[in-house]
Amino acid sequence: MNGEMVIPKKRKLDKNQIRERISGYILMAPAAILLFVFTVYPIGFLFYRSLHGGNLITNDPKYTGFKNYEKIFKSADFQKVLLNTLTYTLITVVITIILAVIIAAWLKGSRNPKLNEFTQTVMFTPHVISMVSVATLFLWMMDSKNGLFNTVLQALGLPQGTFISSPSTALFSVALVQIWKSLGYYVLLIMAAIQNIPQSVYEAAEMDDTPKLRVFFKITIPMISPTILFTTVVATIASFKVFDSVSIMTGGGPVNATNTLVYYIYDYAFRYGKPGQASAAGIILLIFVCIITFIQFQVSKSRVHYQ
Amino acid sequence: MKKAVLVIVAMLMAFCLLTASAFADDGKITLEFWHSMGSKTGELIQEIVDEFNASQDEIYIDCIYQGDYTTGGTKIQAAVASGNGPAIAQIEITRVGMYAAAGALLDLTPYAEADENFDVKSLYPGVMDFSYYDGQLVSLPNGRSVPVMYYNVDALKAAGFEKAPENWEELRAAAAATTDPEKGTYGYGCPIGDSWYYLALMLTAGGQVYNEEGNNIGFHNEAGIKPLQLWLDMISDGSLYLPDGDDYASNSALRNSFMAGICNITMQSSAQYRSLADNSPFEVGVAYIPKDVTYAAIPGGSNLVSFGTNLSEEEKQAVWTFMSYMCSGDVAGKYAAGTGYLPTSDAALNSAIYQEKLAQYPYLDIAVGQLEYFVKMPFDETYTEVKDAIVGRYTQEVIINGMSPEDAVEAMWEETGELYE
Repeated sequence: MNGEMVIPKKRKLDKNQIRERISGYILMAPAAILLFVFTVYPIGFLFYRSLHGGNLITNDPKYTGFKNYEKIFKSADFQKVLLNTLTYTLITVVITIILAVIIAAWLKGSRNPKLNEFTQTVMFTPHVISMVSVATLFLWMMDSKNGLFNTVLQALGLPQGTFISSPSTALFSVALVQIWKSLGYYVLLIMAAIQNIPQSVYEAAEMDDTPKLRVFFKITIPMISPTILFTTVVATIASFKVFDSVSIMTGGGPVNATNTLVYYIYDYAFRYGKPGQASAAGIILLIFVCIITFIQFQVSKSRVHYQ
Repeated sequence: MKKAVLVIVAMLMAFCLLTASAFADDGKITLEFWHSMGSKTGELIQEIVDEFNASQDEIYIDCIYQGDYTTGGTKIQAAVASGNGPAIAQIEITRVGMYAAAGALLDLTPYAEADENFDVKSLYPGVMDFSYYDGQLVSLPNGRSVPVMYYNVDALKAAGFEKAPENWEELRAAAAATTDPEKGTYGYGCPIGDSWYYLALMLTAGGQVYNEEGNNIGFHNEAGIKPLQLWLDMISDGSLYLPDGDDYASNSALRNSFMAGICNITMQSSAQYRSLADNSPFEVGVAYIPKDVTYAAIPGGSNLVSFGTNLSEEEKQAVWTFMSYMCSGDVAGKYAAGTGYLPTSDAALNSAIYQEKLAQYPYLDIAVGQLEYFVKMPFDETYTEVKDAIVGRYTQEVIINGMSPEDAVEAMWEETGELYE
């Protein structure tokens, strides 16, 4: 804020100023009320609920203090769930962003506009299909005994995959679906960023005879770093919230191998009738997302170049 | 152009008004009925409801499919929590207790007592286990099932088995004999993630679902270990087929494999009989779950309840009229005949439609014989967590992760005990 705009404390406001201020609040009100009703209040209620027992339909649940938190932190299941969520996020975000940057750079460099357009359309299509349909299709294709993938692998004489039937590959299989589905969207965002890089920078590099790889790492990447940061944050939050694919493909199994935080919350709130425990997990999810976003912004301060 | 848009909008509005008044003006009581039956069974329910609507002109039942028991159960909880529970709903039996304890269910006792046409006592005692809470009648059986064994009669005959396996040894032998790795066929398939089948086998080994005090599992002994050992033995025989996925997904994957002839013996709900028999290119046989030391049957399926505690007296009476209609001999008989669910009374069993279908589908009433072996089930809300998060999970630990059956049962016992502390 500028120094001149600070109004001395005791000076009385004239009518115009009061009106101006009131109109300011009025203009702000719709957004503020919506934000309060649909974000602030639910978060507050979530915390309040996490301190209580009972199920979803009991009228006045008993206050239990931090017992719900104690319970979930002690449970080996919840630790597994946290680990799964972090692993899943790491796999999807890293692979998605790296692939998206490479593909976007390749599309930018390619000289064939027809092929470009075609590739972009094909890659973007999965993004508009509902996750429920995608997950159902992959569930069939990934069936370890009669699925399309294994039939093809067998026909080619390659070893067959276990996909969602084995705890060691299930999480990766679910992540693969997410990557396949969201890749096109991130490619599009990064493409747009690359197209915004001034041609003059590349021309300068060309005059100096800079090798292509060096151009990519020293010009393209730094120039699109704000977009990379943005996509990383968005992808991270999205992966933390994974639910539909887990629910349809594995139901958290086998043996909790794909049980993630949001699925755990769903299970406890609606299947096992313990909304207190679910709310506590919800608060933990909130804290996690905040911390990770904060770290991402901090780390990127030194790495991201805004023009 | 603008004019055309205006005309269309006006027509749409007029149409909305017309349809709205069609429901409001005729003075009918409209009640929502939420159910969890998809595909063919869902169509059958719709047909039954349509017949009810056409049979009288005071009540209109709006029949709404809400997804399987888990999904539908979620929606019902959310609706009940916000005070908008459906007037009539079909809920999975083990969840009845939770709603009854919270006082969310309509007490049907006065309506049942006043009803001269329908006697609740005519329903089989075996299917009434989930109907009374604290002496109040809170639910009626509709779509009750037991797990049964289905087998490919042709494949078993070809391997020299004229009869269905009756005990575990015969099951193992028949499974091994009908397994052919070359053709990719398995003798026996089971959705191990769904603890219903583990519990069904455990009961035949002499265990109980819960202990006497009702605060821990009742199979913290040999009975709990034996089914797991049986499955491990069948894995080493190479005859056990494990479907991918979890819960209802693994069940439907398994049924597809059975119909495709990939696995020759399977365990599924009795309700699947008609669908399996109609869609398999071979003769489908039904038999009791093979026994280890005794026959036993674990109840499953759904009951009808009403969340209409706030309805007017007239509407409550309408709820009862519809619910008793669903349980009446002819309707319950039709439902049982079209699916494989249990007929819930002698009237249903002897109804013309059931007897007619029985002549066509000779295995239709096998499940009925299991009624006398029904065991007591826990009637509280923690049971869902016990069967899914604990029993289902440790079963998978044994089959998939190589945990020893003894350790698994021990862990089930410890963790269930903690939940009841």
